[in-house]
Amino acid sequence: MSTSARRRLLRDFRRLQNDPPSGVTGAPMDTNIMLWQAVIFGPDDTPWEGGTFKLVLEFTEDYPNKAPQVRFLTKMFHPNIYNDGQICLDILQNQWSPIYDISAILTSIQSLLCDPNPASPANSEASRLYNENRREYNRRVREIVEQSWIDES
Amino acid sequence: MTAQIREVVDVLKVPPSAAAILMREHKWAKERLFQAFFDNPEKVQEKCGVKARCSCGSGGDEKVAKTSSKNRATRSASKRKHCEICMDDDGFDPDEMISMPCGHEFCETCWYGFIHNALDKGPLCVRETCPQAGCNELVTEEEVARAAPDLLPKFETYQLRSFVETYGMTRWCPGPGCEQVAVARASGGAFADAGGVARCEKCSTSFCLKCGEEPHAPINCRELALWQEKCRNESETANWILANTKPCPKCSSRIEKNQGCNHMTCSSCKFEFCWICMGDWTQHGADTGGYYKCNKYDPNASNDNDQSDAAKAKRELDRYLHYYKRFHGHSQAQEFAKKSLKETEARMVALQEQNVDTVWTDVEFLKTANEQLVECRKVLKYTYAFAFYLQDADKRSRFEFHQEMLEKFTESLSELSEKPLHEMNRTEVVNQVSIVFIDCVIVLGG
Repeated sequence: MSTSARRRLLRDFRRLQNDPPSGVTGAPMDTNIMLWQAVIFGPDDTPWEGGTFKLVLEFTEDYPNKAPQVRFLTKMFHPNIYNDGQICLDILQNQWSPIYDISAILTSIQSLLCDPNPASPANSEASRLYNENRREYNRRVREIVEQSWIDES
Repeated sequence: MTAQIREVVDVLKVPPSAAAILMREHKWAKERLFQAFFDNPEKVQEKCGVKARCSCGSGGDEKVAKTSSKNRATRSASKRKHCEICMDDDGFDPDEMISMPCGHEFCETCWYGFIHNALDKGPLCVRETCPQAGCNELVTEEEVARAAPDLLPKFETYQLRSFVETYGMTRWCPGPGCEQVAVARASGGAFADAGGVARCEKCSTSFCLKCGEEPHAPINCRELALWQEKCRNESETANWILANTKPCPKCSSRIEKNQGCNHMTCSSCKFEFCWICMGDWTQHGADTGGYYKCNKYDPNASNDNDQSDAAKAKRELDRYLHYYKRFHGHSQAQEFAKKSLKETEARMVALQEQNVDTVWTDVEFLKTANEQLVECRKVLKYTYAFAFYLQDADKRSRFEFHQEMLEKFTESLSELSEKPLHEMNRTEVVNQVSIVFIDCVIVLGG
């Protein structure tokens, strides 16, 4: 079945393979092009370094006019990520534009990791530590990074 | 709306589509827009998302013509354009692309999908910005007309809705499914504080022009909003006390009130009592002197000397419940009276058939009585919200006196008009109607 959303997702896939952005990968599930799995690698020289964070992206037939639902599968500790993995990011909500593609989404989430937005906290503890006790925050982030390797197996 | 936009187009020399947005963003206050615009046109255009649209203003047509002729010339060289939404590898002919005044262009198919999706978001679609990320130029009827002409009527409906809702002089009729617009005639800014009441010509719903609620005299819009907020907050407690049934004060059988009058007779023990205060009805009779004492809240009934916080809170809650119970009681009675309007018409027909000589006007008093009853219940309902906020003790006692009169006559009118047909006395009902009418006027005037 070929709809404009599916055609566009195929193009997104091709672009992701031909011109891969650094630190992120993604591919549709075998059976369903509307459902993607992606991995974001923690950026070097940050507390997130070495982490491998899994996500799922769920698209609708309204893509790219509507943003996909994006959720982390790996347990996260970040001011803008809820406990269930939902992400509070403006471009996934009201600032969405149909010109964004999957690689734009993934790189935006990657840069959110080291550059949280304290104004919209989704995890109050992470938000508090980020503002008040950066050492402890960084320690908790590295715990999450190590945790992400265990999840891998 | 069109007239207002015309004027802005003439004064500010901007395209009509931009004028409409400028006006909307300034809540249709023309003078305010003109002032801000002449202070700093660029800033206003930028903020409202019409900057590019305005800057291609007067010379715009020419520029567009020029580029399109250039496009035509270069088409032979098959310069294909790229659409950033679908990212189609083949690209598009320039005439398959539609551009925004800001210069961002996308293919026709993607534009259609974009607008279709924007309209699905509902009223917010009038604020949709250019599909380009981070561009705040607004999409207007011009783009909709070009990219999705079939969706234009829907878009324009949303524009009209936004106009009616943001312009201080208009209001939609709150009647269910009614699409009439009420326009205030007063030229002096917002609606008069006295609370103008409008009556829709189409569905005959009456409403307050200022807040859109049911007409709520004697209480004003601000206090009404406070009262409703309070009722919502306290509803848990109030509900507990105000379950729809009450036990008979004598035999404790549960009793459901299914008639409009507060004079209750228990069906199992025949005890007669007042639904409001649950006291013996004989103590309410006019012949015992104090006819209807249950509209006054008596703070002395509770222990006034206890100044602890808990006691204060309890007294405040009691005070609120006193007024709320009565507000709620009249509210239900109003609903009941409204419902019985239909039955009244059936009774009118029956009454007419009983006696061949009667004409319609002879039985019309029944309907008048019922309509007056609805009105009285409504006024009474709001008098309790009003009295809750009435601080001045002197004023309150005067107000409560009139309220008591109105309540008393309303109850007796309610009782009269519920009588079986053969006991009905026309003159009595008509008299009672004029009495309560005068009482209503007094309560609202005081």
